[in-house]
Amino acid sequence: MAFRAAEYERFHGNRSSLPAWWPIFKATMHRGWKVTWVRRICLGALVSAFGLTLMFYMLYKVIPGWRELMQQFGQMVDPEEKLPFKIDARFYAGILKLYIYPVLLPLSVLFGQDLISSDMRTRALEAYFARPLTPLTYLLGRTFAFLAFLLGATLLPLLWVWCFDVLTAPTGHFELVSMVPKGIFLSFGGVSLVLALLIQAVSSISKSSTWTSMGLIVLFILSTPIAHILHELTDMAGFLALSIPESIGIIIYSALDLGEKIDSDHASPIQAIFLFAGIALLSLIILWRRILRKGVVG
Amino acid sequence: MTAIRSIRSWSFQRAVLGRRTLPALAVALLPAFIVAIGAWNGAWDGKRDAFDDFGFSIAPLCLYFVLPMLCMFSVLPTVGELYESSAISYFWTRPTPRWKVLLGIHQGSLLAFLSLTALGITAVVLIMAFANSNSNPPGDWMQRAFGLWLVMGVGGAAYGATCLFFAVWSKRSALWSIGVLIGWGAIVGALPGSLRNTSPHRYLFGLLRDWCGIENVKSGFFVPDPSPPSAWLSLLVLGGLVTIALFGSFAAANRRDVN
Amino acid sequence: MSQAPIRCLGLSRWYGEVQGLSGLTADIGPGIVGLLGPNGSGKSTLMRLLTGQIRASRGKIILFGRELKPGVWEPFSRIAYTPGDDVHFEDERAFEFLELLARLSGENAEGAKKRAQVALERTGMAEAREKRLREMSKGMRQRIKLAQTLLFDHEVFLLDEPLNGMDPISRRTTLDLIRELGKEGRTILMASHVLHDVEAITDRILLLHHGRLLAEGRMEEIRALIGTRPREVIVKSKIPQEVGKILLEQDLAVGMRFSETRLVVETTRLEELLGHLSNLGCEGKIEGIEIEDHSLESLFELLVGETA
Repeated sequence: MAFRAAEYERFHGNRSSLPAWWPIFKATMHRGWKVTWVRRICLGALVSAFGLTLMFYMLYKVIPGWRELMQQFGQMVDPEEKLPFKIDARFYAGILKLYIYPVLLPLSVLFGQDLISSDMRTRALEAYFARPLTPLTYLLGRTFAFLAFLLGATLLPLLWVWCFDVLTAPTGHFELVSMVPKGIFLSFGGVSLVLALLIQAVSSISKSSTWTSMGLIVLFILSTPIAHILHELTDMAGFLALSIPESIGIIIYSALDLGEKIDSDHASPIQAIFLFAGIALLSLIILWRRILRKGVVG
Repeated sequence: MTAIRSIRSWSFQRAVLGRRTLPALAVALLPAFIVAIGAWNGAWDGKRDAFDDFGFSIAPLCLYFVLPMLCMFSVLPTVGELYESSAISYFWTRPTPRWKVLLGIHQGSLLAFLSLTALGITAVVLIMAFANSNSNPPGDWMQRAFGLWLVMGVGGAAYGATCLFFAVWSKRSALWSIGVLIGWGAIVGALPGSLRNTSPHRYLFGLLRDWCGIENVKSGFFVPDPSPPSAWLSLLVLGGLVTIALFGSFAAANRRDVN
Repeated sequence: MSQAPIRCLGLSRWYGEVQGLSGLTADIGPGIVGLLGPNGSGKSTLMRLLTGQIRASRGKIILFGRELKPGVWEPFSRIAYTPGDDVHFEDERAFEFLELLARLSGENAEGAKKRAQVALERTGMAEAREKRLREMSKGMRQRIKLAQTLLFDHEVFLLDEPLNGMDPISRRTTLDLIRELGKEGRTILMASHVLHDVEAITDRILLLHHGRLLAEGRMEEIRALIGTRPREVIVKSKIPQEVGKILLEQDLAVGMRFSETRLVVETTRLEELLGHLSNLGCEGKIEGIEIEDHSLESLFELLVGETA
């Protein structure tokens, strides 16, 4: 008869030098990539960046002075310079917004809506923390992967566009767009970090992908009328910072040194940053408490 | 009737006493929260009239945003979760027609919606009336607040039935409801042009004019409708929507499989 | 001979391209019938078809002589059903839940209260009547699921894995209850993937495999096909080694494996082992058992091998 008392055998071999959050990071990336719409949006972002650079290249080859021509055309049809006929910081602000609304926001919701919630629903957190993995490494792994995904789909294509723009531009153009990499990095980095934390926090509360996406859409839509009504009632422009789309715009303008676009009818950059920092901090606290509560048994 | 009564009371309790009440309560009290911030910052210290602001800003906020969201929060969790978890099988395997169960859920959710709305509007009126004591007499406030509550109630019945239909018909009921209630309802209803005639929100503004005396609303993201329909026509259209949505739900319940 | 209350005629159901049930023709009842099959064999699909929760892709169901169609709900006044899924009414108290279901079946408030109380008492849950379902163990929730089938005097009971997650004592009392219902002349269809559970209450079974009806008939005929292979019983306990020692002393195990909170026992004397585990359960030494019925697998191998 086979009778053997159970005992654990500790691992005595060489441990990997990779950080503890790496397996979670890798698993998260893998999981995110399996979502069809995540792949489609990433592909769309890359294709549009590639298309833009192709357009730059074709124009550069066919009409070498196309930038000056476009600028002159712009002065004729749009003397108040409302539309970006010149490739400068304003042009990039427009592209940044284009990448934030149809790419970054849906991508973050699709990627993050069920990351932590499914771990909680299926009690996978308990399994994770039974391994030599702390809540902090778990959270780092998930958040880093989230950020890597979002930045990979937005920051990299735009940097590629910028590089191509600079390489095919005449001398003197670099000064016009020298602040763009910093602007891209600060805008996408800041917004992505806040979104990554916020979505994970909402998902940890709702524990349902549907309710997470619904809550975020509602928050996004509702923030604007609330901000406008408060602004109207109190005449305090600071309340406009409560509007998430408005604050994203302000952060983009400040990051691209376009301070003149932010007049007294807008919230100040400090207020927008304060709102985003507040959301990030609150989300982090919620997330941390939920992970500890759901993940630690006993 | 026992079946409808019991389900009505169950779904009412689930919507107002359960753990899911918090988001609904937060949405219902959102206008109160906004006016509290306004009052704190001296919005009605002489420059503005609270009664006008209630009509121009708060009533449209309630109709455009609080109404659709509160409907979703009152109906979708109850029915959606029953289907998601297959718990609906406990109801469907009783000797009771499915339409009775759904009608009970609709009534219970509507009661919950009305209770939360009453709470929210009362809080708004109290804050605004106290902050601007020189404003209109209490009778005017009560008439306007009660009128708004009634309009919200009619809207709640129509949108609640719509949400019920989506919850029974589709697994992605939340997304459908957002699309239809906020997209087609609130946003299309606020756009200038003939498209707004198709939106139930236009008819709610007809009721708002006749029952609350609110002729116009704040411009900007709320584009005023120059000629909202009459109250009778509005009631007819919204009543029609309730009927269609409820019959749609009953038909969908007989067709949808429980997983 | 009286007509069977449940008749399935060429019943099929597809989930997209996956076949859940394939051309099942069978008369079920009266009496207790075991519905046996491994996971994914189509047991729950059949239960859902019989209760009108899903529609058949082909074939028809006759309940008490009337064809079941969408919108037909009258037969459910004669049928009680326990779903295989967990009961998901987390915020409800046991009594409220049963009262709601009784009222939904048309009972008045007073009558519903009485019926709920009686059902709780019959399943040994009277003391937990004010407990919320989310605060209950899996075994208690299973008993609540069973209690809701006892609210009325039904003729047919459809029980989908009613013993899952129950401790040994609850298993025994539940099996006694089902036997009692069977003796009263009711039709009971109990789905299970554990041959032993079904064996304990009936000798008539329907055997499903990959959605097909593999065998139908008396247990002893099928039993004879199975060898005397040992069966595995998973015992959940905080003191697995002590429990293991007791079982070894009784010579009830032919093999054992341990982990921190469970013990896997291989036995050829299942009946005696379960009896002994019930006693250990009463002493609080074990928390639950699950039977890994490899004998069923061997039976399937045998039948599929023969029929293939």
